[in-house]
Amino acid sequence: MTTISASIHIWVKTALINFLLMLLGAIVSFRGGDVLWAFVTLLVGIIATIPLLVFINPIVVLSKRITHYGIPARIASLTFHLMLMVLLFFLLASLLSTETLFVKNPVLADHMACTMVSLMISVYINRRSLKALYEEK
Amino acid sequence: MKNPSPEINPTMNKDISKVILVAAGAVLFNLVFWNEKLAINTVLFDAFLLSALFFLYPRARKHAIVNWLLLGHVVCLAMVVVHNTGLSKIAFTITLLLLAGFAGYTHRSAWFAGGSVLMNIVMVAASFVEPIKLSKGQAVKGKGFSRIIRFALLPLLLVIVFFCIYRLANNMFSEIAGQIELQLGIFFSHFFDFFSWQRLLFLLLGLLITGSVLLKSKLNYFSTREARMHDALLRCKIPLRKKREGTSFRFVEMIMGKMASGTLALKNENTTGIISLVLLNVLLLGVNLIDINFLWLNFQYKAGEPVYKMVHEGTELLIVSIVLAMAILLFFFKGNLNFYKRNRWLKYGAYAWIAQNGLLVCSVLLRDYYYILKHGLAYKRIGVLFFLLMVLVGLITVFLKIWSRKTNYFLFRVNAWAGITVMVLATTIHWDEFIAGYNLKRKDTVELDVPFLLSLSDKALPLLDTNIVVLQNLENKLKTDAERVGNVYGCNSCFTGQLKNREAEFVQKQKQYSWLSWNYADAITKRYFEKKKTIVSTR
Repeated sequence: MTTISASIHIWVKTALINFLLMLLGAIVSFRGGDVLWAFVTLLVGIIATIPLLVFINPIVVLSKRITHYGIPARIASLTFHLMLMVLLFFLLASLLSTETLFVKNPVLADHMACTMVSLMISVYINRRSLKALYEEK
Repeated sequence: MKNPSPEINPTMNKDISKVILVAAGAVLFNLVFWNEKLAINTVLFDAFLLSALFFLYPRARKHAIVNWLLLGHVVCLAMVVVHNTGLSKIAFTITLLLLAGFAGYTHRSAWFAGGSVLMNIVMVAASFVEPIKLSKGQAVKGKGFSRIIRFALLPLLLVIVFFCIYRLANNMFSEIAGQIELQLGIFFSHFFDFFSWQRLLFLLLGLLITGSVLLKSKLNYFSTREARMHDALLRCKIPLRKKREGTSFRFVEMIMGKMASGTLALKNENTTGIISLVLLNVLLLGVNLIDINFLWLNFQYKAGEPVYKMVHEGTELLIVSIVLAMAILLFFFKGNLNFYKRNRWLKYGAYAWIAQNGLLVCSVLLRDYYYILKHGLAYKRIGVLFFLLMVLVGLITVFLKIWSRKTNYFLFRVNAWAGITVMVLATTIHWDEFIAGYNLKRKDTVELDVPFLLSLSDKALPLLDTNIVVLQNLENKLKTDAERVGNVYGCNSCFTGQLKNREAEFVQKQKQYSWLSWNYADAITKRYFEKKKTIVSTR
């Protein structure tokens, strides 16, 4: 397992889980438009967030390098920094769309929360490969 | 059979206390700062943070640096409550973070302590989770949870699909499902009214701030590096191969060629230094003589030429030149040239250069003074004064560095402490009120910039209100001037109207805050307007 492959795993799984959560919400609320929106989010989300790999990989590298800490602490650090990156990404999106630096748009805020939950699930699913990555010399 | 209880060692206890204290701090942060401004609530939060900090690092109180910094921090805290200015809040934050750096690690320099705090901030999540040791039983539980997710995935998908089919097929079922959905929607909307995403993020911010102050990172990079630093410069012989790895040496070698690396390298460097300093001194002497003649002895405001062109424009460049001058001296006196036997003339050149730059500081000060005399006080003009004070301290420390052969570490350390002292002292004055008071007091000699005065903080409002006649006169003058020229008078200069708007905004803002946002500056302003209202209503 290399840092770049771990980064890609986390990124792809986050996007997919995000899509699944949105799809679940759309099906439960029984709104056809939301289902379509979930598919659009998956496609646009994956294309728009490819550049984020440039930031995800150094964060994974940093978490690998902090050997003074135990593996759970390193995973927590990785999750925290990735969540911070998601927050900054949505703040930027909010700034570009509504010209305010804070997420006051409820749709964007819900989307951000959904992405953060997806990210946490994604890191949790990837914990074994991350452990293997951290144990590599 | 009796189960042997695990031994609880003091380190484990401290680890658990760290987690509890950080969590408690985050909750307290959320309670006292949510929808409030930094004011009396800061005292509550700070008291908690400092108690927790000294509980976790009891040895810190024995260090003189920590005690001095604590004094500065308390001054800043008091000023947050008294003046409530932006500067006092920034100084409060800086001193708190530095205090955390000095309490948790062994430091002498504020720069390195700042680096350690930065490390705390970056590693906050790892430091928070590290003390929480999961027992094996919990780990098995974790595995079980993952298993449950995997088992539940397919049944859940099936339930969702059939739920949709039945909802489409059966109207009654669809209606009941709709009702349940509505009730759930209402429940969640109420839940998020109380506990919004913003509030959750705010809680995380509290966790980040409290964690950064209380949790020491395991990476001691900055304290280890500082342990190798000394105030006194030591003579050391560096092999040429190692020297070539340094950027500064490569730069010197590029200019001087073989002369930089031969047996006479030090002598050549000394000669280059002397020539450079002689030329620079002669050049600066010319500039200083012109300044003494035109600025010190025969200064006159030229009619028709704006004062800022005459006085203000050169200030920035002169400040850059002084900083550059210090950098040049640091370059020449960075290594073994300090110990070279024939460096006497180089040292004299450096002292003369420092003295001349001191003179230049005085000239810049005079420029700023003339500008203030004509246009009154403003942020930038006061900023220049503080900057010049710091430059003066910088020049003195550069002199000390050369005189007593000190390292750059010493120079930066002393200057950082000087900067912190100046910052703490600067918080004791409410600059907005001071600016308004100074300018209005000299309304007959100073050109009043009313839009600037109206942009000052709320504490200046009573002062502006007591001088409302001055504002009214200026407004009338502008109106008459506009009418004379034939322009339609717009309301860009309705100063009294703008002041009334500011007052209304202040009263409105105060209604949104609770006692947690109480501060002396706002209380005084509020009392002034309440008193005024009573006087107006009794009339």
